[in-house]
Amino acid sequence: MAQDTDIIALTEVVKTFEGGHRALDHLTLRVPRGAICGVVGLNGAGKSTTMRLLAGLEEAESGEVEMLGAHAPFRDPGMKRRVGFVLDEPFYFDWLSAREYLEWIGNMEGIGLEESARRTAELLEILDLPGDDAKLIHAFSTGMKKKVSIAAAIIHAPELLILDEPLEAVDAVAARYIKDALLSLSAKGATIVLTSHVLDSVEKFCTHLCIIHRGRALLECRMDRLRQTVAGMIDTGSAETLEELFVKLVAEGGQSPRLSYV
Amino acid sequence: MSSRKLIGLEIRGAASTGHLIRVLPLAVLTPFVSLWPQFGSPFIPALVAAFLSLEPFYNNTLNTWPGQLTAYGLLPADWIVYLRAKNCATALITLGVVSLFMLLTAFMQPVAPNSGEATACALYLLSILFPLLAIGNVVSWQQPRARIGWGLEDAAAGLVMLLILGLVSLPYALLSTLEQNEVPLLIYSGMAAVIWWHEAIPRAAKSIHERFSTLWHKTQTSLP
Repeated sequence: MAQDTDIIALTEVVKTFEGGHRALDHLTLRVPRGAICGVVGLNGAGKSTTMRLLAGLEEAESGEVEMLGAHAPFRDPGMKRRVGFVLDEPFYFDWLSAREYLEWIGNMEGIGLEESARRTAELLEILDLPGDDAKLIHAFSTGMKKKVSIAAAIIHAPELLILDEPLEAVDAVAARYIKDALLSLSAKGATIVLTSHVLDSVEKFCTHLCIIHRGRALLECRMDRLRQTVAGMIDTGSAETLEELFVKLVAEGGQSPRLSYV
Repeated sequence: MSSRKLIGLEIRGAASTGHLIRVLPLAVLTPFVSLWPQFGSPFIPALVAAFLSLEPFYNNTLNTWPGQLTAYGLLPADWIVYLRAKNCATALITLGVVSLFMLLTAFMQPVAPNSGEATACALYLLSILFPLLAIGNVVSWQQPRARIGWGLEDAAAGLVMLLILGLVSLPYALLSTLEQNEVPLLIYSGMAAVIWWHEAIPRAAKSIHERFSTLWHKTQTSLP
């Protein structure tokens, strides 16, 4: 059962795909309101499936998925306005310029035209995106497209952000600005759930951590309690950083295999 | 959110994806096919070809560009808003393409088509447009195709479109045999428009809303 402080609560969620591949295997996960929660795991661990469940694209075959006090599936437009998404899908409206796209999204998300235009101009400047209408999004690099996706997710300052690998392919300066923008939103009370393979960044940026392994939550804790929590599960040895602890937790033996020919 | 903006976006999206290129080969061929006198009116092959080239906009309207279903699934609006905008955009694109085909056909005819033929053609177009849109909405959520191209699946979809065209042409075939058939055809078309707007679109939108995850998954797994 979700507590009042939880903005997201997944309980015993199961999701099996065609061919019998079980992407989520009785996954239970809680994200407290106001947290910046990093969801990490190996490729195919179930992170993106979890994000798509929260986005309402997939449905669980059993278990409970709650978000912002509502039960899945999340189809109500009023509810969607409270959330911003960046998913690992290709870009959708790439025949528009970044300005046209962001102004339109802002308007769709319920911001007035003038305010949407004002916020768009601000986002374009901060993220160093071209405001020129002659340059369409399909001509952008992967990183620039990602920046536009993030701008679209935060233009309406939602109370919950679901971000699947938001900083992948984004340049260091933009990544820094995006993180600052996310921290500002968090300071105003927004909850952020993000997936990433860059564990160093997750360790520094997130207040909470969830490790998903083979469709289950292997570990769920506050970031400042990470070492104590892991020490209660395995012999951590000299492992200190999230990356070291993560490898010890999910990789058999925790040792890197050596290439025979090197 | 402005519906006009959404319609404009749909038309721009349609133009950007290259699906309208499908119009070109048929636009070149149709005026020659129209010269065959067996068709009765030279405009009949023009109309059939126009609708055939626009098949994806009718029968795969939720995927007229890649990722569209996901995008609209994430955005905060009801499916009825999207479907109405999409159908209006399709109707406008149809008018443009049909006009092009008819002009080319008229230009190629040895004897200029008379005004009676043009009126009959307009009445036929009006009588089939709304049923085609209504049926297309149902086909779109029942048989989504993530990609539109020139493959076997697209050829099969073209055949389905021909069958649907035959079906929705029956009322015109019956009513046009009447003397003074303009009024009955206009009444029929008006009723079809009302049913399309107030009954068919809301019903299709409800189906998409209720089965969205299944539909989304089906679309994803139809990717090559």
